[in-house]
Amino acid sequence: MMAKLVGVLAAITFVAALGLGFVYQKTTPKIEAQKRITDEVAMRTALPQAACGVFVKHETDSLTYYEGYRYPDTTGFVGYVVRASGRGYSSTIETMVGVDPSGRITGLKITHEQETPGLGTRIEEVRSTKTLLDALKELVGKGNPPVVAVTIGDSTESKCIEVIIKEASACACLDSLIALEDTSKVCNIVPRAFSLATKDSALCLSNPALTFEVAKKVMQKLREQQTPWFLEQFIGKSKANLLVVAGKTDRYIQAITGATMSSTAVTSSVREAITKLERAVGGFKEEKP
Amino acid sequence: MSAAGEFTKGFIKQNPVFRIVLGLCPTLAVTTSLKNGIGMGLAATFVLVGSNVIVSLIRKAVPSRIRIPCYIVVIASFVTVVDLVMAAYTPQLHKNLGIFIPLIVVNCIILGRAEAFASKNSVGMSFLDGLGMGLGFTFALAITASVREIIGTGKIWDLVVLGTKYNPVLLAVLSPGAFITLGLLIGLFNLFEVRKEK
Repeated sequence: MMAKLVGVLAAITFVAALGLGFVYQKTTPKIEAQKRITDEVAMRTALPQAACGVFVKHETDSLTYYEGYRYPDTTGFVGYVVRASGRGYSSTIETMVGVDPSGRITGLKITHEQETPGLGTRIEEVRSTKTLLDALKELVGKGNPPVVAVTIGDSTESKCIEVIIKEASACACLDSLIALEDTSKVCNIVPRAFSLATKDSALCLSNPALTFEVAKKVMQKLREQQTPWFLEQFIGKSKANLLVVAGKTDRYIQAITGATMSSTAVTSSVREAITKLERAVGGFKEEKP
Repeated sequence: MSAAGEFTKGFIKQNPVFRIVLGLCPTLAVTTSLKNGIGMGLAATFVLVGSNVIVSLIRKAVPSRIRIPCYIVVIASFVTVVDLVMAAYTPQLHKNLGIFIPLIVVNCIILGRAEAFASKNSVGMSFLDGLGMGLGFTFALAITASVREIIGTGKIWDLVVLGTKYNPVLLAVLSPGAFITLGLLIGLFNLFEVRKEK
């Protein structure tokens, strides 16, 4: 009798293991690829000035960090990216932090967290002002396109903005080129990248200066829309300003209501990572007054 | 009961959350937003359908003394499949639901249906029972999540419902809000059923 019990249980376990092995084999490459993409996007988000360039990995005894370069031939050093991690309410929150040569934060991207849904996870929540009514209007084709907020001129210009905003997310380098104020490249890349998508790109080509200005506004708008408001607070701050305080503040970091532990975990881990980075690179450059 | 009856009983009459009061852990934990609620509901539905079918298939070969460990192995396997597939193909949802995906293993509805229904019925009927119960669970999560998200954030599915000037009642998305909302909804469903019976 005992042999039968063991046999049945062993058979079920064996079949389950075979099935799981198959699924694991099929999904692992995809999961690994997702992780690589997450890290790559995180680095480029954290240090947008190097979005078109390359990152060079450096390892010390206590820290792994990346140096970001503007161009693929490792020229034009723009800053560092370092991984930070801190214990939140229910998980370890991992973050990629971009720091410019003077020690100011250029961007932040959370790569892993398992905080409470609706509370701690709001550290990644993007501000949304779109109403249900707007969505329903869009559904029946009567809504305003989201570009209205950045319209700066007549209908020709508006059309140009529409073209850019529709395709801007497809062009990873656009944000970086705008940050570099590289007018010629922006004016080239925008219409060229989008010319297949729409004939309206000719409008952008006819007025490069306008294209650049419009692209700047569009990317600013996209950045506002895509950066979680909690992480937005870190940009431009140095480690001395990385303190969580109550109430609205420009100087320090305002915690997410109901998620103070998650907010504090991100803030203190970023501060700690920047301190380690500073030691590893032998100090940041003083900013010119 | 007819095949249609087996399928539809999970929606209202024997809704696992509102009528049988099972699977309360994920119901309380992940219903802070409609997206999470539906995601968790569909993941649990997949596990429920898969485990019901397999348990029904092996029911005559499994000795009674070891049926529970066998069911747990089957359920845990399906949960691991869901976990891996979601991590690979819906990484954002996988990230949002976090620890609650592996915890589907201990969801009482899954083991409850395996023990109470699938181990005594045919594969076809077990499939319908699993699907109906799973969708009923998803429906319950969606309703609870909608109420909590609207009151707690003023939004639903990231869309503003109560206007940008609405001051959200944070309590609704916190733990007490989960208990209060669920209690009220269970009361409402029972009232509805009692009136229907009368």
